[in-house]
Amino acid sequence: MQYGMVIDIDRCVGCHACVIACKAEWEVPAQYSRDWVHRLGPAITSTGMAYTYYPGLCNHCDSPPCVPACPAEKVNATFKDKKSGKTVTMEIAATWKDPFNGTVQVDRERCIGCGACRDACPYKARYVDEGLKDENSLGKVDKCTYCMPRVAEGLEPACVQTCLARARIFGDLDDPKSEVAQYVKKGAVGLTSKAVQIGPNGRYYGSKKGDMELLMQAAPQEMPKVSLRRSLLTQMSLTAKHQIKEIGLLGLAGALLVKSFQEEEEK
Amino acid sequence: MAVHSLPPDQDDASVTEAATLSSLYSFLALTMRYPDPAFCNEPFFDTFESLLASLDWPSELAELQTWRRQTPDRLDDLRTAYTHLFITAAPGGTIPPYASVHLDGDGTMYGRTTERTRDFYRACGFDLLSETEPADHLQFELEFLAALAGEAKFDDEERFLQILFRPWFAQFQKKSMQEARHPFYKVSIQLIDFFTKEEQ
Amino acid sequence: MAMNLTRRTFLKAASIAAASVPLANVRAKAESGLVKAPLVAPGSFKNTQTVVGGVCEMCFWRCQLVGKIRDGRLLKLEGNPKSIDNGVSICARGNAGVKLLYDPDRLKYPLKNVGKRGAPKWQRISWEEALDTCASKLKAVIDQYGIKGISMFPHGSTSTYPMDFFEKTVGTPNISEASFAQCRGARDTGYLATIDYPPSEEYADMPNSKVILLIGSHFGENIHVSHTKQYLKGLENGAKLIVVDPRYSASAAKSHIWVQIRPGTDTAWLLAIMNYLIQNKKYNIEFVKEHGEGLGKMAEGIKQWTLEKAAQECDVPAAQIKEVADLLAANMPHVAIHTGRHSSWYGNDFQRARSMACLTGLLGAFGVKGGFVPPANPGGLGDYSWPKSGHHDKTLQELAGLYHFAPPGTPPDLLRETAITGKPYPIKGCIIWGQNPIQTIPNQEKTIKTLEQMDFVMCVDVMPTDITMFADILLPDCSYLERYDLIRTGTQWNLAEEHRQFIAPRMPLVAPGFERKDSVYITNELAKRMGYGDKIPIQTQEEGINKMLAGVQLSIEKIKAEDGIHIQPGKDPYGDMELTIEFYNEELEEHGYPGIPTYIPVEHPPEGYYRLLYGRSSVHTFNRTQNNAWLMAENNINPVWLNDKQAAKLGLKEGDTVALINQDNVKSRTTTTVKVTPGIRQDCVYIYHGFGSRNPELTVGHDRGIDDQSLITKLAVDPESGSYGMRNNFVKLVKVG
Repeated sequence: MQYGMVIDIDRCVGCHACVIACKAEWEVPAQYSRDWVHRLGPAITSTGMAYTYYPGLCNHCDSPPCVPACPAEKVNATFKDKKSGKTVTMEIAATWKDPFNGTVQVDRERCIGCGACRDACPYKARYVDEGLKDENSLGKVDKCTYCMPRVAEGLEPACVQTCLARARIFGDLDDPKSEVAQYVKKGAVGLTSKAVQIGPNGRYYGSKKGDMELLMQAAPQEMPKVSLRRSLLTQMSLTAKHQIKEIGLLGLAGALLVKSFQEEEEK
Repeated sequence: MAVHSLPPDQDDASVTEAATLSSLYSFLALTMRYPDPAFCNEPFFDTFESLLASLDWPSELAELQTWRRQTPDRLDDLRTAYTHLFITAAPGGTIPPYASVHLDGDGTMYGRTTERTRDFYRACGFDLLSETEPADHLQFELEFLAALAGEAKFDDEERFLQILFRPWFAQFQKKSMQEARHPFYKVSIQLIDFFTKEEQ
Repeated sequence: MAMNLTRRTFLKAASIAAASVPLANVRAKAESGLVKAPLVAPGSFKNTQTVVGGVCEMCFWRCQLVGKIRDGRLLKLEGNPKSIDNGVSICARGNAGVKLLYDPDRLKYPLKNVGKRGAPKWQRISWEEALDTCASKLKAVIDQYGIKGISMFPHGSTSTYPMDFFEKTVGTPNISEASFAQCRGARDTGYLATIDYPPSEEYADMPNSKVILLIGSHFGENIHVSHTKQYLKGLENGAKLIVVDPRYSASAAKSHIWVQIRPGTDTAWLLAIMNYLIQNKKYNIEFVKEHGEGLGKMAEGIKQWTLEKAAQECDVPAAQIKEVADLLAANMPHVAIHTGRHSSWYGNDFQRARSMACLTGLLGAFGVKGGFVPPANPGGLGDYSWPKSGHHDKTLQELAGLYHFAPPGTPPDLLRETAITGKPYPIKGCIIWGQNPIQTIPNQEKTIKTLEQMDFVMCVDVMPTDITMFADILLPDCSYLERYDLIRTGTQWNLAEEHRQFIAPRMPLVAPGFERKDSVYITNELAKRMGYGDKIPIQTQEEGINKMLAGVQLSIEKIKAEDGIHIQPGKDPYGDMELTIEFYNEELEEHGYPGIPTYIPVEHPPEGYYRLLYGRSSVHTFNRTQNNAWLMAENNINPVWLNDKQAAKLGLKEGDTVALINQDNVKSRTTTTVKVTPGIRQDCVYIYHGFGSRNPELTVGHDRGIDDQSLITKLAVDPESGSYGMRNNFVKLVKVG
């Protein structure tokens, strides 16, 4: 099973209800977003004038670069398939791809807020809420979960429920009978480019060539370079902080580490 | 407030201390309440002055005394100052005295912090009398601290200060010190800071 | 500060006689354990209560809502699953109602202005003091200047009860509603003068249309849930969409034919289409024979409007006008000519509306599938009303002998003129209830002068706005989530489906916060103090709703038991509407107006200037949502759309910061950015309306983007309806920084 979302841009009217419903549902602070609507155009395309929307969210990719980027300490976790009752136990960091439903999830308790996963995502689907920083983290990362807690209760994702245009369709891409699979058959595509081919499970459908052209131009054109050193430093600084705290030298050592970290950023 | 009995193992000194602290918090809560003739009167200002005197804050005391001397209608003056600082003002300059506005990321009221604050009150056996104002108003938080101190629940007091009070009060105070030109509110906020900050 | 004393040592000393004061608002309750707050919000469905009966007011469409509430805190709004109108969907603004409810800048307590009008210094006062002051000041105005000395600017459902009081029982003729002269006045009067039937934007049966014609309407920028559902259903069902707009709007982007018309020339375009249809006998001859009057006169009068002449005037190809006309003819009568709503554009708008009504008649598109179809809404609701006093003065409009086709009421400029000059009589008291005249009436300086000369100004509103800065007393109203007021009625959104009707009164989802009061309370308290206590028709808002519901054997209790919406079998909305289409209207001619639809040309922009057009952002309702943290996170500026060729000529790039200066040398107080696009004509620029609030009490919305209204200083008054053309102002772009 692979959950996915189709966005029918023929239907989308650009009302942004999806974004606000998500903010309300998950109490996302105003300045952050788990999903977005960008307006594209009006611009001239190969078929004339076009003006459309890019309603985006985490693509819960087949090969999510955010998952290996996470430097948080790994733990064993057991996943259970709701249908078959089968279980799988695997090692995960603070972000992982669910082996049964294909969604990419985050454990905010263990997230250290380093931002490595955020930086690794070519779609910019993640943010770090720095307001949630604590002694174990620089903040907490967040992103679209495909509303798994709602789905578990038999509800639609918040953005899908509120969409007046029925432009958002959620379901199992692996089930050929599902509406999302039908859309894929009809030509719904992920926002990929030459350099970005990570199997996005958000798919876009539009019957107008000009609209699709604008949308594909909005697709990321390169994979972000992930600073391994950065996540390493964050991880080190946190561990170090703990150790140092115990021997009472927190202020000095912490400051030094933070400084070197900033220098890295400037480069 | 009802008189609370204290656990038997506490000595007289800490009993007195708890009562004093509770009275102090109650007093500070009043300073953050919209001025009303029911409390905002000459004995109230006298108490304020004697508090500053006993703390040995001479410059603050002098400021307050000057204001009292120079302001014929003190209640009216405080009401305008309170409205400006805590309710609404043009141009700008209002510092909403609600925790969630400062903590919940987007200047919100009735945010998650408001819910947490109310949960904390309830967990300690308290709740708001009226549903019409959010639980995380500075006045209510100080009243809550007064109630905890009155029951000598010092652990809860410290935990509340640490988890919910200080994180926002620090921001509130910083912004207030830029905006609060009125001696009464400036000194009141300094007093709240003094009595709630982490012991070194 | 002597900091040698710590809290601990101080407490140990315990040397003060601190005031021992009882705690006012805290009391003991049952003990329970403490839990750590989770890092992830639990979701709106966890441990929440679903409260029914909400009716949205983020715009006027009034979608039906439920609230998800945990511990008295409203977490989320959703469409009421029982709704046969919006269903579970609501738009961005509807979703963001939570942020209006809990906006820290919202009005919380009655305030008295101890500073100046326009530069207020507020002091919180008690309701008692506020009401006493308002009543005595208004009475003083009446005593000195008579009842005519009172004026009112009402808006929205919260103002209908007080407006009734001031208009009928107090008896002032000086009432100026924003929704007429600055919104739908020209449309309403134009249709009434043609078909003697009031139009509505709700009367386009788009799901069942074969052609949808939008003149200036832009679905996608203008969002009403069931309305937009109808539009999308029409497109899904294969309707051809024609969009007439100088700009490549959200609707133009979904259109089959985009008519990139020269602003102000729509009537010429419509006349050419009608002329073509008549000349070529492509109109609905049978329908016109039965329902039309004066076709011959109109045909004769408009025959000058050849395709070529209109092409020249409207700056669109003649072939395209013909294509549109043929498409309409081929699909008649199943054509939805959308009436639009805000129609006060160019000062020639009555004629445009009348032409649209005539074209609808030519196509026989009244009462038929896909045409102009009023839904069969439920009737029978009860009523209550303030009693009429014996007192009745003529309105300023009547005194001036102007705007014969406008309904009673006073166009705001007549009111301002009278107040400023004192002629024919002084106006010295002003009640502003839910309206923001600074952002709605052209020429802001004149509005400010009007207010400055008043003896007393009171405002009732939910939020601080640009107008509330001018209040002497400012009262906090309940928001739509905290009160009862209107009753929303309607039918299933797709008229072709099983006929059903619904009745949904607005009921509060949460109790009013702080010291906010509803308009029934405020009005009644004023009435008592002004000596009208014996005239009060209802004591509470609930009583009013129950009186209305009693007419259909319902009550608040019953509605609550029915999950907030009563649904009953409906009626077939289709069929002969028994209209007469007056292609020629004798009465118009008698009053000195053209008897047939007539094109009145508008001024072209002077060299170096662009016509300023304005419209809607999909996440805002004019100025009302400008302090909403969620909506402003989506859209907090109104970039000026500038044609790419013009941008190149001016040396402006996408994202450049500019100020705007109009033909009267009025410069925008603030700046905005440039959006360079081929999607707008070269002779105009476009911005979203409602930005650039001047009130600094709005911490999110203050000075964001440009206030288009501040640049609309020239009034083009529509002669028949008295509504205000607001798109006849011209601007230059000045690069900043």
